[in-house]
Amino acid sequence: MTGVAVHLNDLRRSFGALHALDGLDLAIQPGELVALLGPSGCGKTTALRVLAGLEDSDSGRVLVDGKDITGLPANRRDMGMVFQAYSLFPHLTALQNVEFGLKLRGRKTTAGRANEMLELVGIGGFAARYPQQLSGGQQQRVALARALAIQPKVLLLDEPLSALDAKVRVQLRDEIKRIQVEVGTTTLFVTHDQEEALAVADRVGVMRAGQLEQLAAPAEIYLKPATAFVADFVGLSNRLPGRLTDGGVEVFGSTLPLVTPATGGPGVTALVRPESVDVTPAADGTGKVLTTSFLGPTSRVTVEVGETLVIAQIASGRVSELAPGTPVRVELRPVPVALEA
Amino acid sequence: MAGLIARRARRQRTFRWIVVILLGVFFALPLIAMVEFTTRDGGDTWKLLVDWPKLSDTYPDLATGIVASLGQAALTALLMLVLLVPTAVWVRLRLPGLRRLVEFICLLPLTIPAIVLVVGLAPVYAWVNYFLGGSSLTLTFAYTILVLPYAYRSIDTGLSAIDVKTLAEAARSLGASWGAVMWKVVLPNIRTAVLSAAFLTVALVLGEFTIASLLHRDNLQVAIELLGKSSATMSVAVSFAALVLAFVLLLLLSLFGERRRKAAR
Repeated sequence: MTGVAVHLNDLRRSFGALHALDGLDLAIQPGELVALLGPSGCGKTTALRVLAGLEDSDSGRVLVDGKDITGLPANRRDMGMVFQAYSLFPHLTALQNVEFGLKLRGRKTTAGRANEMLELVGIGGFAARYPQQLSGGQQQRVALARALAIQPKVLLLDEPLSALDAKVRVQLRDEIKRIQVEVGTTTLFVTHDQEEALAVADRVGVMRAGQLEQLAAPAEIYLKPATAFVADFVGLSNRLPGRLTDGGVEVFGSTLPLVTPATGGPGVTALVRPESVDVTPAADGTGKVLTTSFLGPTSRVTVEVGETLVIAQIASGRVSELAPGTPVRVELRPVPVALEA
Repeated sequence: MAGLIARRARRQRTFRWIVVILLGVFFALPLIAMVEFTTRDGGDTWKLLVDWPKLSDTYPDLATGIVASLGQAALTALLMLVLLVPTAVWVRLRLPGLRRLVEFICLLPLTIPAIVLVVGLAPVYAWVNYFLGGSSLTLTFAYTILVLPYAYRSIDTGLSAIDVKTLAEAARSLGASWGAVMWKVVLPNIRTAVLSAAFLTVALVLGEFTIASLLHRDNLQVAIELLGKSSATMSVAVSFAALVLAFVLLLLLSLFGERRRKAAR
């Protein structure tokens, strides 16, 4: 099955004084997996629910495959959805849950397709179990199978992994990506977990106050954030004092290029990724190691430079030479940085 | 220490048994007295009670009352479910802010004595008489109001046990109409609550006297009261049978609930 294009045009939705969607525009290519990422209350779930037909927009249009479906009720939109909360029907077995949508469509033989979907999500052996006999991860797999069984035009995933423990979350995240590539359904994935969004999506949309701040490939979002908000929200950033120069921004004696040209006064705050910071022991260094945190293959080192705290991410093999109190030299790699607004 | 705990447990066990026995005697004595009273004639009353054609001939008013009460119970349960289940579900899905108000309205009949309720219902029933006639089955409307507190509590408890909103939205996204959501998703998951509401309704309607009597309608309790003036034995036997029926309904409800809980585990 090939995917369809999805367009959200100038969507607005308010809840009292809160503008959950404030003129949201989003275009998803056929077969693409787009993740909407943003802080709580930024409107990402509202956008997904408006697309699903579970929420009405105050204005704006929803187009799927070129057709305006803005006024169409949820049950006629042909979209599969996996919810954050476990949403399997408790009175039905896993197989019957997957068959549910197929039966509503008048399909006479549903067991074959339902079993096929359960196999696809890797729990073919659990078909006869009731939801309460399945773990959280297994329930979400069944929910995914149920959503895919109806061959939806669009697959909507509303924080489907947030209730799962870390290990299962990573496993299922990879499974979702594999299955999405296999079936080719256009997918909108809503999450507040940036690692999840960056790992699973073809493009990530970072939302803020009901609008899209940036929609780009994960690497671009991370390495070339369009705005200070994106730079700050996605990944960890050091806020370092700098000075605007002709070539970019000068921080700790290094000139760093800017993601977007900036104007204004010379004194600015640059948002610098920890992995762009290098620290080396040096008796004449201007910094002093405060703490180190082991993260597995990499470690995080917090250095005090004057009154500024700088976080650096370095290979764990080098941590032994950076004990707290060690004087260090701080250097910044010349990767593009954003400036704080 | 262990001896102290064992002694305390023994004392508590003894106290529990004393309470159970005292309450058992309190409830059982009147029932035993009823059985004893109705079997003084060698069991003729009970033989007549289970012989419907003969009973109808001998006590036509009683037969009419039984039929009327059964009809009222069935219709009230049906009307209550048709009104209450979709309302409770809709309030949870779309109007959660109104939940407290709906609960308050549904609980109101509990605070209003039946006699006061009748004063309010009498003029309404003048119109009911005008449009629908004076059938005893029209009491269904009054009884639906009367059972609201019990039925609402039961259904609301059932709905609280499931995530109605998510289940309904999941079903909608899979293509279910609102009717299908109710019939195929919500109702199967609140089956015990619906049964509980229906059983309580039946038990309540079978025991109702005030409204029927004051609105001059037939039902079982009115018939029993009338019968008491001419045949005390049969009156007590029918009362006993009605009580037993209510006990059986509540027992069935309890057993069904337990079976569902075990199945869920």
